[in-house]
Amino acid sequence: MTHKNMFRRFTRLNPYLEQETSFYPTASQLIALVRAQCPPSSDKTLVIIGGNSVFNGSGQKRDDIWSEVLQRELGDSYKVVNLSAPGAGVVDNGGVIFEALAHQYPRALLVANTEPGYYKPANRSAYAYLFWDAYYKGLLPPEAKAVANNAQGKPTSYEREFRLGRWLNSRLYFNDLWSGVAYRYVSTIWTSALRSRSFEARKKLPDWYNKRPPVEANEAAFEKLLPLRLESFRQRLPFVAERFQRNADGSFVQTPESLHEEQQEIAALLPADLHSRSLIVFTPYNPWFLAHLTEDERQRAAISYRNGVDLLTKEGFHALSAWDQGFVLSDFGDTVHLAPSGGHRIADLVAKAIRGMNAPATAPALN
Amino acid sequence: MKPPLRFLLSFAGGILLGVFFHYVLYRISLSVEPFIYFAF
Amino acid sequence: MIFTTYWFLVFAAIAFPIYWLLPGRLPRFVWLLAVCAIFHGHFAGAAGVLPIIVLALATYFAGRSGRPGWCAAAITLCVAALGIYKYAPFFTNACIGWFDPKLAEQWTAWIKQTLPAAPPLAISFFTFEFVHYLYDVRKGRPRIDSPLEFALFAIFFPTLVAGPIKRRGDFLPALYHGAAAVTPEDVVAGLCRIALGFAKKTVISDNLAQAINYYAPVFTKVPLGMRWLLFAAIAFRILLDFSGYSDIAIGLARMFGITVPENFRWPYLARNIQEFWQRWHISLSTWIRDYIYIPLGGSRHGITRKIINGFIVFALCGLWHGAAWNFILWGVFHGAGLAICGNYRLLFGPVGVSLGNFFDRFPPVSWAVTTLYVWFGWLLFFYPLPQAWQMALSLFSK
Repeated sequence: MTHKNMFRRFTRLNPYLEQETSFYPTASQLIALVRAQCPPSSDKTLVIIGGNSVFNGSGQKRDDIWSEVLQRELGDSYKVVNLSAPGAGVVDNGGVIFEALAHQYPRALLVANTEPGYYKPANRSAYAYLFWDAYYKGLLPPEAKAVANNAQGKPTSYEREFRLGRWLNSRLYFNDLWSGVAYRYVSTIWTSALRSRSFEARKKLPDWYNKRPPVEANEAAFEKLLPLRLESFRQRLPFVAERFQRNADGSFVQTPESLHEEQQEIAALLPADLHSRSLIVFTPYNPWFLAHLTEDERQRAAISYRNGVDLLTKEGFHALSAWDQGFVLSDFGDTVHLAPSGGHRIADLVAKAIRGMNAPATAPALN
Repeated sequence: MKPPLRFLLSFAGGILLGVFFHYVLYRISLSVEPFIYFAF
Repeated sequence: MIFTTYWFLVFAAIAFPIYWLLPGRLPRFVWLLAVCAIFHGHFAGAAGVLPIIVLALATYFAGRSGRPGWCAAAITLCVAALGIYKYAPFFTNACIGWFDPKLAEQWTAWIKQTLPAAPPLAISFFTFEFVHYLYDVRKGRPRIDSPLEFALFAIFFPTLVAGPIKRRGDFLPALYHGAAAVTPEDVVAGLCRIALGFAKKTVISDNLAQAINYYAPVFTKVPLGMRWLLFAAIAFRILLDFSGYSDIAIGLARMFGITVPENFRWPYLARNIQEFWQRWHISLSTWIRDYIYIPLGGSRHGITRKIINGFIVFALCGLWHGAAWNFILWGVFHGAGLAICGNYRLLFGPVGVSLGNFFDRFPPVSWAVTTLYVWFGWLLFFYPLPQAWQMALSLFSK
């Protein structure tokens, strides 16, 4: 159940294949998946996608998901495997598997999205189970120990219990076996997302987004979302006033404390030697919603994007900001998730950036 | 019941119990409530 | 649930084999006490353990003195501790809030500041067992002189959190028997019982709970058949959750060679409310019978007193399940059921008698009436009254 890939026709960890529906693929299973999609012996460059629901292609049907577009644009010398997941942090899921495989795949790259200011470590995120699973199974490089120990304060009793479970799994493989059974034969957990289909084998379920209604990318649809979403925008870090101070001329700068904090978080995301192999993408906000915010708020967000790129670059990461990259209303399904046209646009940007990442390595003579 | 049959039955019973407890280990790790919102 | 944690499984994997390997009674007692203390300390924390130590010491010394006065004082202390820790905010709101809501608010805020956020783990079970012991000693029944025995009686971990409520007279001989002669058969029986409990709890009840939480808010809007399914699901969820828990507790005790009382005997097969309470949470209902109902006078002072006693007992039983009005209401609902069930032949004259004969002749009908009554009770137990009422009505409307 562990070393053989169980996933069939895999395109992404849609909500039927992740914890939203009480399905927890283990690190070993995801590694087996990647190895099946791109054997270590192949001469392709492995591109692992990490990040949240935006890169998961929330709202894009299986056939028009952005990462398939990216695959087509990059061509046959690359193999794109999308391991992003809804609600995941920048180095969750995809990041963990990238870290585990980085030495076996010396040319592998990580491409993950986030928003400026959000750099949660993989050991305490919503998908922490995967990090600890890989950690206790000894799948991560020795440097991961530093990440595991970068606890902000003592672990709570919940965290201790949680880690004990993951440690036990690394000895007894119960999650591996029973997730495998749930995928292939029968699932045993009732979930509200699946209701009467809760007990079916997960392999039989279609992609979650295939059965969703098509995205309505128009003002009338957004109008309905506006009041609630605007409020949630204002609480997102790039907009929050406390993280900024005003200059004499009225413009904003980010406070040194918040910059310092961000830089430390960024440095701890992955072992240092993997920074240069990672592309962090700040995915865009829907301009229609941005237009409803105040000028000050927009200014702060723009600064956050710029500073985020600077900080990432300083730490050796590759960074791509999609702020002001020409995304328009019809590229979005809601505030941040991309409609198929937005997916194409982000795939273009990412493909260009990936080729740029490989350029110095393939053409050092030019320097 | 003949001793070999008894032995076989208790052996099978033991395996069944073991499999079930192994399943319990998996089941108790699952959070009862999902936590993330759905987009769309 | 405490038994469904990895910590507990690792704990059990260490605690049991060492117990089995130790030779003789005393080493096993000492080991058992040590693991019970670790269990209690781990799950209750210092704030949860300290009050129990105080109550246990008071109970032990009062019991050992054998003096009725001391025992009464210790009973008062235990009941007061339970009242303060578990019910102080509720009673402040209910009693003072009735004539001065503002004052009640201030007091509640003060109580919440002073008391720990949650009452000490299992304080109601401790109280029940201590009160039982003190009451019995007061009535001249044997006391426990050995501190080791008393401590084991007090914090025996399988039954510590949620019962079954033990009796001194059954438990101590069972403890001695287990320490002297635990057998592989005990272990196998215990393991099977635990597996059954986990299956009820994790495989069925937890899934039902998820579905119920999802559908309850739209209960009145789903098709009629689905409503009845959910109605049954609510009833089976609580049965399987609680009896599954009891199975695990009983099975764990059995793995030490110790037999503790049964808590459930197919309660949904009962054909009247009286019988239901002889099958549901048996260790609680017999405790209430012996230590509240009978001391109140039971059925010895005429039918009016008997009915009033029944109501008091069940209101308290409801309150014991939680400090909220819906639990009291649920208790009173069962008190009413019991009063009618026990007395309708007398109260309603010839009509009552012929009704009784009818029920006797058609057991499926009496079973159906009882089951419906009990299951309606669960709506009161889980939901606010208006919602429970709407749900009940919707079972009989399109």
